[in-house]
Amino acid sequence: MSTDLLLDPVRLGRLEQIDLPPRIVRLRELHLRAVPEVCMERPRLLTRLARERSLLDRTRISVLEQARLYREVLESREPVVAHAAAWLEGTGEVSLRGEPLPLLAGSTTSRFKGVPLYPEFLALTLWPELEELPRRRSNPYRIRPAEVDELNHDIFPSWIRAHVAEVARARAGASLEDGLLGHVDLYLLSKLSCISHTIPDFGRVLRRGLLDLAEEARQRCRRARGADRRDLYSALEEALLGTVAWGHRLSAEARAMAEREPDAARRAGLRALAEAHQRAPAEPARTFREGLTAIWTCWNAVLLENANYGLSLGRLDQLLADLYRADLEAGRIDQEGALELVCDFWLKVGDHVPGVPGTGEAFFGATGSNQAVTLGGVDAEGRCAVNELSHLLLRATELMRLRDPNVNARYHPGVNPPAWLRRICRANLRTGATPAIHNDRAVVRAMTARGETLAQARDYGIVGCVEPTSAGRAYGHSAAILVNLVSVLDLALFRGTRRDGGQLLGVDTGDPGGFAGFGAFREALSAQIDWLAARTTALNDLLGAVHQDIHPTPILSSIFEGPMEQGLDLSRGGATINGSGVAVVGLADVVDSLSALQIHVYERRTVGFDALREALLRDFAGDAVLRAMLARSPRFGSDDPVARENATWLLGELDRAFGSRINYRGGRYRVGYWTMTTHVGWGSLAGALPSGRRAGAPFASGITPVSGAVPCLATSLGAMAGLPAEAITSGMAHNVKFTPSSRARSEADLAATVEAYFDDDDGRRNGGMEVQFTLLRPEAVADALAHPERHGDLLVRVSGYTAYLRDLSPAMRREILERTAFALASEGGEGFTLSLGEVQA
Amino acid sequence: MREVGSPLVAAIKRHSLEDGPGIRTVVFLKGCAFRCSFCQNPETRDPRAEIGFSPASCIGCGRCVQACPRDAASTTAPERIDRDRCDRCARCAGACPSGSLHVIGRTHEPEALVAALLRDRPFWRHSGGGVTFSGGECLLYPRYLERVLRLLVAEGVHVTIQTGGGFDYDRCAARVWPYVRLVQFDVKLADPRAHRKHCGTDNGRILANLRRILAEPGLEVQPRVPLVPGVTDAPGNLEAIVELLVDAGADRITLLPYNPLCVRAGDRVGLPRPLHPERFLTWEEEGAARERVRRALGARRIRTAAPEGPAKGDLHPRLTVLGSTDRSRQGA
Amino acid sequence: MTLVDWLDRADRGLGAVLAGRQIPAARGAAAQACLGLLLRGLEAGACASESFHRRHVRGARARFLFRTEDRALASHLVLDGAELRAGVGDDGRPDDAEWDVVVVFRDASSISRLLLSGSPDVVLALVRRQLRVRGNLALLYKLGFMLFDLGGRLGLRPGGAP
Repeated sequence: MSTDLLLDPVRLGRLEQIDLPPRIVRLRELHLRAVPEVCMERPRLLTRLARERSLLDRTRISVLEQARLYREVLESREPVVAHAAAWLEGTGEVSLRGEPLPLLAGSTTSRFKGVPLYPEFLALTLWPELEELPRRRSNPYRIRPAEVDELNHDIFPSWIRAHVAEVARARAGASLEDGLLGHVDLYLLSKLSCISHTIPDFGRVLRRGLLDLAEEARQRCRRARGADRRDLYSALEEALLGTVAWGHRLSAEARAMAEREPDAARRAGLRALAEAHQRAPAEPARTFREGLTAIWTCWNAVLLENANYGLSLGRLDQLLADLYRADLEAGRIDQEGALELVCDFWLKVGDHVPGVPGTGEAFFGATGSNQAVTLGGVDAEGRCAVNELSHLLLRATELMRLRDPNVNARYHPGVNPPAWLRRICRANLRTGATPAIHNDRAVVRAMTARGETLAQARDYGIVGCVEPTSAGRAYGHSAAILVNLVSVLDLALFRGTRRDGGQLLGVDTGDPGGFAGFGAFREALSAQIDWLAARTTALNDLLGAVHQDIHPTPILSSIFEGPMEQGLDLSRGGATINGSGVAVVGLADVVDSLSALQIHVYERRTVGFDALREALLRDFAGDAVLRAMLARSPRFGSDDPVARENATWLLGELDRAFGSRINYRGGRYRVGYWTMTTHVGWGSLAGALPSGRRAGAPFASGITPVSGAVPCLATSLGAMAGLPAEAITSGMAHNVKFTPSSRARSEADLAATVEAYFDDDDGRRNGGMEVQFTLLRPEAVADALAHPERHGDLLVRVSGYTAYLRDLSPAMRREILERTAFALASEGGEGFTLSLGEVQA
Repeated sequence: MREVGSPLVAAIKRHSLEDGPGIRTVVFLKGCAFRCSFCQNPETRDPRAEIGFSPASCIGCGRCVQACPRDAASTTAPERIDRDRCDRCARCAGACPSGSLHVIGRTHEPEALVAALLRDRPFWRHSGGGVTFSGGECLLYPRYLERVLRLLVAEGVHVTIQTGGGFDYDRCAARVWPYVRLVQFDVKLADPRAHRKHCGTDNGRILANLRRILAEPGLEVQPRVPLVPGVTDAPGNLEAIVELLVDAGADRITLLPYNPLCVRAGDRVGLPRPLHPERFLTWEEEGAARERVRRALGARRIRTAAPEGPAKGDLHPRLTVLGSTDRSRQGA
Repeated sequence: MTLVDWLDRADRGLGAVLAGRQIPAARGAAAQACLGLLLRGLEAGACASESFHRRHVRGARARFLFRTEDRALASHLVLDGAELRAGVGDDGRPDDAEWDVVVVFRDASSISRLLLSGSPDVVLALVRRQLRVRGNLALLYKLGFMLFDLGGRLGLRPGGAP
């Protein structure tokens, strides 16, 4: 093993010395300063072609029709090798002629930094504010008046009755219609916006090339029985050939530019681009550059088909390791060259931002596309998979400090070298926010508990925020449903209605004041959870069926494990592994509320339920004593057995309620705990809680304990490490905020802390599953808030993803600043020691 | 002082990075013979339980006033409790809904204490850490320590003792030293009169214990001098301590940076604030003390390496004064 | 992603223009009058301005009903492909199914509370069950854009007409 070039510690050490080349520094600056511009290319082409083919009023579009449509778009899009202009903050439109050429051609949109529009999903939500987009306070987009008119006149009207939400509503029937539209305080359904929370199978792209895959589809089509299967195989072929065409058109454009280019160096650069894109992804990749080129070209194609909400890149350090090694051995590349390519790739991946309407900011504020990259961990056989490329990708991440891609590190205690964990910790200390760290042992346990084989589980990549997903073969849509657990607690507290009364929403579980004990309250909550699970999964299945009928996904299916083998589109269950994910928001606040109810209402009876309910409705006005008492109840994240028991019970209930249900593709629902910024959005709408939380305050983020509830780090980590991993099958985001110190031991201290948190204590507990750090220097934050223009790239950890501080809403900034901060070194320091041992001769 | 029953534990601090090697779990026992003006933990002086008050969480409900049988609690007094009237019955703490008033000091049976401590085993395992006993003066309780330490050491736990030197040597040598890996021994003042002035007692016993423990075979001893402006950095003190340590055979000396938290540390238990500076010293300000120690060592023909300065852009350069023994050994 | 987005976006224009802050003259008017005024404004805009008509009315077909839960108050707006009509009442079509979009306010006070608050928060109104929406939301987004445009043309918002 030690003979592997990619495991040479001297080479790893050398990586640390590499800095960003000036070319990348310049491109990065342009990237950070660029204002997103609405891109008309996709909606314009799609609308025209769909109209020509009369697809807009259809209740069913076959996968083959869809594939032909996309192929034509791929053959019609303008192949952009290097953008001619960009819109820069504070400057306006500037020409990019003379700027460094990228090492990858093509882009997600026609703009330098584009906002792609998906009128078949949620683009129409931007309609009311089209003219306001360039002027709105948070995350403005540039749009030209003529483009506003074109969208208003031509494009949006075409989709009024043809987009997924409306088709679903028309099918829903009275009872579900209200559920689709009216319960935004209870849950959010993300199939309205697309299904892209997954990882394509880039392994087959790199190994075989798309032409070979297309040939396989053609062969299978010939042998296939039934029109549906033949359609599917023809569709896969169309999709693959369309993607190949896109690559070849980029290549041709680069070659044409090279012909016209007077500068010899740029001409050579363009020729290299032309060569790489001619080869990849049509043929198997032979070099590291071809590998990245193939992935990027496919990425363009997949994003034509689906809006980017957490479409993830998977385990790049595994996918590309052989190509990188071969290049090194042949002397085709060195570390500097590879790092530069990766930096280019990182910038390309962030070349688009999701089109989010103003209010969406409250729930998904300042998020990029959450394109997760996963590094390290073990291979399918359980062997250490950390290699030089893992380190190189990490180095690129900490040098670039970008919100996209969302880099996640895997660490397998006992298998991966501790130096890998220390390296991950160093990156966190340097960036203050990334990467998140996942415990392979706990994650693999959770995944195998849901039926993945050991090999499939070990080959997991992170999707979106924190959701582990068997890479390239699991179509899990881990963000399908977001649930506000606090509103479910409300249903139990208020007999199945909202606080202000009104019609029965959940189940009338009776007046908690009349319950014999806490057990009865738990049963009531359990019934409400069941109601919610039934309701949300029915809606998700309804939306899934709409996707099957009007939005099959031939492009993603063409580079995924399963559809080719089974002859079934992904939307119909073609993947090897199927599932849907539920993200639960507000866990800590609900556990704390349960413990307060148990202790004060049902056990000690220090307060009657009616009095408590009245206090909640008054937001504790005049009830400071009661509130103080409630807030001292056992807290989630502490050692208290009451808190631990309630947490374990609730995690189990949610897992049972959702995990027992089978989705429209035949996969099970899984539950995860991450919140994006919904804990602030939903928190602002929620009333006072039995935990003592005041109305409007943010919920705790992810699965993190409530801020301030558990001031001791060891206690909190110990409790979190004891949570049942097998009930957390769709990931968790555990935020730990440190005030950094520059003492030399910090890296080792942080690594030892993570190692201890991951430790299963000789089988006494599961071991922590995930942790993500916020390392904020208070003075840096103060300066960034005072002078946002100087800190365009200050990254902060939200929940599951990182964002630029300047993009966050004031409420979200406040939430991050008010998180419990643990010290990496106490005020005193450990002192300065002089040895007396060395007596002068 | 005779050891009667179990001592009270004032606090257990988990995940400490500065109380011995690795990540430590620190147990603070109550009771100390000294009255150092710069004490960081004045709530651990008194061996008895007492009432602590944290103003930040007080909601001003006045339940303490109703609960107190001696009329010692008042919501208008900033310190809340009239300590002269208070007989520590703790009814106020029992009535306090927010925990703003609370009891400091609880007994822990050795088995229960060890079980609670062992929760942190994963932290020790991966950092080379362990348990540190501090105080107060934890060595006032060798019998109790022996019972606890025996259990800990049986679990393979690394134990550190922090002491101010006021203990019965022979009893500790018999009951405690066999279980201990490291003793962090604080030496504040060499001069007995200065010691009486700033710490309330003579230092004869401390220095005698220091000399004996430094001669103890197989016990790692780390003498530490807390820097206190105008007290421990007074002319001649650092030099005298260096002399003393070199003569006694110490192999190192640690300067603890001045910690201004000592000024308000007694607020919680109603102690008056000492007149010490309320800010950290800068690395440069501390440099004078380091230089004095180095010169004193030079006079004894001992050369030391220059310590590392604070890292660039450091928030609290004064907090990160460090230099491990390993690093400074490169000096010769 | 999310209904919240939709609903708020769709209603932002509506809410903003409905708010007393944008039509000061309407502040304090009864809810019905306020709503009526707004819809009349659209009608007037469509009649008076050729460009407004071309931009929003020509070729557009949608039927909006605004009413309280108890149907005591109602207004409607109809785009029939060539013209925009607005009026009080349900236009003789009491069945919700005959409308593309129905915005139902819980009661009259929830109309005034929303319309006359300094900064109407439609999401909050939805969450607090002060209103609910039935029908094709895309049409509501379109209406939001019309109202936003109208606000600009009337000089009621900074920036004015494009």
